[in-house]
Amino acid sequence: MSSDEKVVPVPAELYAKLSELIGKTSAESVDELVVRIIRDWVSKETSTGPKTRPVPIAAEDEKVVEERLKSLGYM
Amino acid sequence: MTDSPNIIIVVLDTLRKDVLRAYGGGTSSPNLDVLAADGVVYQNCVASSPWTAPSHASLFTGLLPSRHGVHESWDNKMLQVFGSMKSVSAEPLASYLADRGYETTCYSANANIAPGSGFERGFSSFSLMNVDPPDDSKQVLSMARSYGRTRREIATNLLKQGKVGDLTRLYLEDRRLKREYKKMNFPLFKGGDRIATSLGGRKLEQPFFLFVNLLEMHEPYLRGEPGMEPKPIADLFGKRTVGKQIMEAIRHRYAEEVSTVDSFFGAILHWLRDSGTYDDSMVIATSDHGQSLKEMGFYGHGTFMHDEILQVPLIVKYPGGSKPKLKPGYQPLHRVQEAVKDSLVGVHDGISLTSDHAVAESFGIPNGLESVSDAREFAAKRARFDRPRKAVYMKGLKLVVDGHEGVIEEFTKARKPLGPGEFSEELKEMVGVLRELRDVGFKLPA
Repeated sequence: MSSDEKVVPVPAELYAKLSELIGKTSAESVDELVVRIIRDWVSKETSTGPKTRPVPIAAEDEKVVEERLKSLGYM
Repeated sequence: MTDSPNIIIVVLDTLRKDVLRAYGGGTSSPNLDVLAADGVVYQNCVASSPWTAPSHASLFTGLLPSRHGVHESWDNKMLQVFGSMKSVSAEPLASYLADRGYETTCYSANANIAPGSGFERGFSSFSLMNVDPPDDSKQVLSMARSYGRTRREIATNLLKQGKVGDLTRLYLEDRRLKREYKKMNFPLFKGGDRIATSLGGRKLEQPFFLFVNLLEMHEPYLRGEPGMEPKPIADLFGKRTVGKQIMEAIRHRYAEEVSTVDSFFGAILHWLRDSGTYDDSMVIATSDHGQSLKEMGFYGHGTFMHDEILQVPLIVKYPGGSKPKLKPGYQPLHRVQEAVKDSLVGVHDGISLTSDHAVAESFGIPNGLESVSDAREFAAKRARFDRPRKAVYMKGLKLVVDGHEGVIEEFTKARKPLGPGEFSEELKEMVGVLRELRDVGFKLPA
């Protein structure tokens, strides 16, 4: 632990649950997962919140997509 | 410096790191050099996949391809992969940032990152700007497609049916298109000029997240119209093989494209400086994958795990000019978004970017196989290439496993093959990393 870090006790049962769930994330340790959860909560709480809802964008015609992929030499 | 810095991620599609001066290469890229001087040059960034869609999905979700599921397989090629990002349950980076008050804007020149792909999730503005046939050509091209896939097939079928008028119309349109593509400076320009121009006229409300994909380094490189240059996929199957002379011209053009794309990247930096937002912004330049230029006998990307394809640049300019100390290890591309999320709470140490290992995953040939899959003569070649592979980088070593047979394809140190018994403990550890991924159906070495 570096001098920039603090220790927060986590109940053993909760720690065990987090260990089970870690496979669903890209976190490489429970410590990393806990830090991410706290960080995401802090950034949400300190943000101004969403400005506008993203506008749904219509799907492109498959033929158009195919043409564009072809122009890249993919197909 | 605010806790909500503007975030700019520029994917320099198909850029391998070894050509850049920041990584010891010799290609002129003065604008990337400026970013390197202002930021941190990470030496060990590894793409999550050898092609666009899975790598972008990893960059946006923080997950490896086997976890987010946006990837090719034996039965699913590029067209089927297109749109699969829509059903990924992980929250994409743009949604995360939009939810925290960011204006989210995407300019993409890559047709895999297009409206309808699912990559637009979380963006309030999303533009595909690549080289597109002029509108009045589309009708003729659509007519041509109904007669076949290749020029020869189309012409033969039109003649067989006695449609000489349509054939003449198509021939004239084809010639006109060649001129149009020449005017667009294709293939040297592939949309970057349009993106730079459009961005130059825009003002984004702060804080903003700007994502840009610049495609100039992607093939094709030589011919002034789509579909004329020998395709990497055809080359893989021994059709229209790219000869030495053409390959030399491609290598030369690739370097030229690097300088071209650098100028478009420079326009983005210029726009940031002009709007007074450069200093406090987080600016990231990276790539989704590199490009093999026949160093290992293969031209292109996708399918294989060559260093030229997986080792990509990662240059990060932190808000306020912070320059965190580099931590030893690797920077897997899918962890880039962790550094972005950290910056929202004022953490600019880059620690979450780095891991003691990096994994890349491929699930076979991504390209459409229309022209080759039905040919009996290519069945054996397809079976050999079109299979899952995973690469692990760790402790200066690299392991590539062919998951179809569970055999080691590559175990190297600084690109030199290792003999039996060498680094056996490390090898076990690296196989252990793959075992941890618990990927169903992927065979591991005994």
